[in-house]
Amino acid sequence: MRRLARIAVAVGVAAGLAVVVLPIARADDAESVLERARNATVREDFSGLVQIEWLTDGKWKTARVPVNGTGGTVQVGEGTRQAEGRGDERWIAGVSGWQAGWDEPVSGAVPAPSTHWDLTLGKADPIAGRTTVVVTASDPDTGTARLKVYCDKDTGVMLRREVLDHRGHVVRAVGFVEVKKLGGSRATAPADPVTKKSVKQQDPTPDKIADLPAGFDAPAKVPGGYVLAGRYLRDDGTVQLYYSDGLFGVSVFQQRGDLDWNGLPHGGNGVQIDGTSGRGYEVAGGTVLVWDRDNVARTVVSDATVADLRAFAAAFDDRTDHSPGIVRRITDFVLGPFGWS
Amino acid sequence: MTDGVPTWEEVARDHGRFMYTVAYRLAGNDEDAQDLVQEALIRVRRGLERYEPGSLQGWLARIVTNVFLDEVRRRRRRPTAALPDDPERVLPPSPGADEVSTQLSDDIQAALAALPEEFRVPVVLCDVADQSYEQIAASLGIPVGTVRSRLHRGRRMLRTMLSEGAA
Amino acid sequence: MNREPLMPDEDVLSAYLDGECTDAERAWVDEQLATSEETRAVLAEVAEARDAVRALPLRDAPPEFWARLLAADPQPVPADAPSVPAPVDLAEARRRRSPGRWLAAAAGVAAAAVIAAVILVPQPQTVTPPVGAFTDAHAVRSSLQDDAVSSLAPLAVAAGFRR
Repeated sequence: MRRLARIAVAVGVAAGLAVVVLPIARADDAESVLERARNATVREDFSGLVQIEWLTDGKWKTARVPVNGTGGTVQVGEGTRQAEGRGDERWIAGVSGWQAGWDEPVSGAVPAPSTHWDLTLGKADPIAGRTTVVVTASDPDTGTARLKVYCDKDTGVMLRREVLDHRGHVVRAVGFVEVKKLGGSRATAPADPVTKKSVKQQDPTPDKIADLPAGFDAPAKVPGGYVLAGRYLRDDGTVQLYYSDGLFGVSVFQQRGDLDWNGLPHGGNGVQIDGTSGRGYEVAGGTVLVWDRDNVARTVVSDATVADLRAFAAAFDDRTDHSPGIVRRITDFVLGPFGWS
Repeated sequence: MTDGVPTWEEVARDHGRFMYTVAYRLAGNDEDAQDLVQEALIRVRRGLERYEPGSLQGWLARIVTNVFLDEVRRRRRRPTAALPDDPERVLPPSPGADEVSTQLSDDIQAALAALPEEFRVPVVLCDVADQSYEQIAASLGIPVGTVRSRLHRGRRMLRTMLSEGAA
Repeated sequence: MNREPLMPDEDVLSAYLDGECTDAERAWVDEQLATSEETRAVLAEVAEARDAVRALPLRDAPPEFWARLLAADPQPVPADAPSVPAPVDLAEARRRRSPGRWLAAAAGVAAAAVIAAVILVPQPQTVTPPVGAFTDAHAVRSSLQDDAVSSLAPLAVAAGFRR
């Protein structure tokens, strides 16, 4: 089945784990639990079923994905929709085969979650039959919980991540609905998929760049607690940035030119970003906003809420300094039933 | 645009590419697609006076589809060079490495063209023109349940063709 | 006596992918997916075909098509064409006085130039963000510094973007 075959380039994969295995920290405080969860799925073998659920236009959408981790290799999906992570490598499979998505370590530091969030640790109901603890991250200005991370008490693996809006309602969640195996003895990482035919493979990792091309922005910080953790130039000239506030990651893509509105995907919602018209989508992979300003088309992606991402987008565009408190207060106002208006 | 009703020029300018895409995916070749779009635009111009603002692309997709189906019926009455509707048709051979994505696109298009119209039309209206089941049902004058079963059968046939062509 | 609910047909799987099934049907499918490998296999197959068609690009007419359309010999408006409402402006009135020249006249010289410019000449400096690819790139990048499972899982879900 050539067309539906996996086309994978055999790369020299370092044997075993490419991530330094930290000694398992005592989960006696919220921040340690989060730190431990960050790479627990590389440290522990597991298999199960994950469900992604997200609210879009007032309706819930769900998707289920089988997942497993063996010897440090994480695999999600099956058939012609799969992804795999081994060390610093990322592979994505689609109808036309496997493609490399990344192959270099990242070095940008992300802030500690407690820098911008109030964290508390508590007990939670079992998830997929596992004893669970929950870290709740709240907005320090309002006290509203905005993110809940549920972790397996025994292995530290994250079992569920819930994003809450400014009213404290869950709007997005990713988590296990079934755990077949978690922890215990480790198996050897599966072998690389065999190359069926050679495919010219461009370097998948976008180049890190020190200097930005003219006209593009990459502020080191964006009000709301976001810190720049990666800055790259893609093969097609797109500037890709990665911001993190310790709990939420936001990718920003900038392309020179005005937006071709006719070329955007159907659906989505019209949205205003600090006075400019844009388009927004809510999909399994997160919230996406697209707009243009000053002949640069911008796309931002995050699993943060629509309102928070709009605030990020406005702050990213804005040349004026905002104090972090102002940005948070903007997001707390009710902007419309689903945050679009 | 007046009161939400576009002018013919606006339709051609803003939606010509969409209309052509739907026509091409239905007809399977550029020559027929061009004829379809030309005829569809005539009907669009006539219909604009009665058009009530709503889903413009839905309306345009419906017109293109109706033109296509009228042509299919016309050709059936006078069989000449029949449109290919044999799902067993052999797909072209596998491409070289550099051509994977274009050739794949052609293969999918060829498989689509090999589907019988009753399955191809719902697949195109759903997956190319992005219509809802209700819109498709209204366009084709069939119940929603029939849309659903034809769409499903069409997709399964496509998948079979794509995997067999690859073997 | 309670009547057992009818089991949905297999075509509910397409409706499931398109978001066109009822809550009850969706719950039934979820249950089937969790327990039946065959259902998962069929769903994956249908999703492949659906994704393949959705991934097809927009198709441009050959460049001369629009030029030909605009310069075409006049085609008479069919006699059964409905009468047109009062024109809103003089250009409109000019067009409608000559029903025989509907295409070239309907466009009008200026409008034809505009249409030709837009359709035939690529607009400079416009760009179409590959939204699906960017969403995937975000999943990849975030998976490198956050939990890999929750970051990568969306990559295994059929793209939520439709062209």
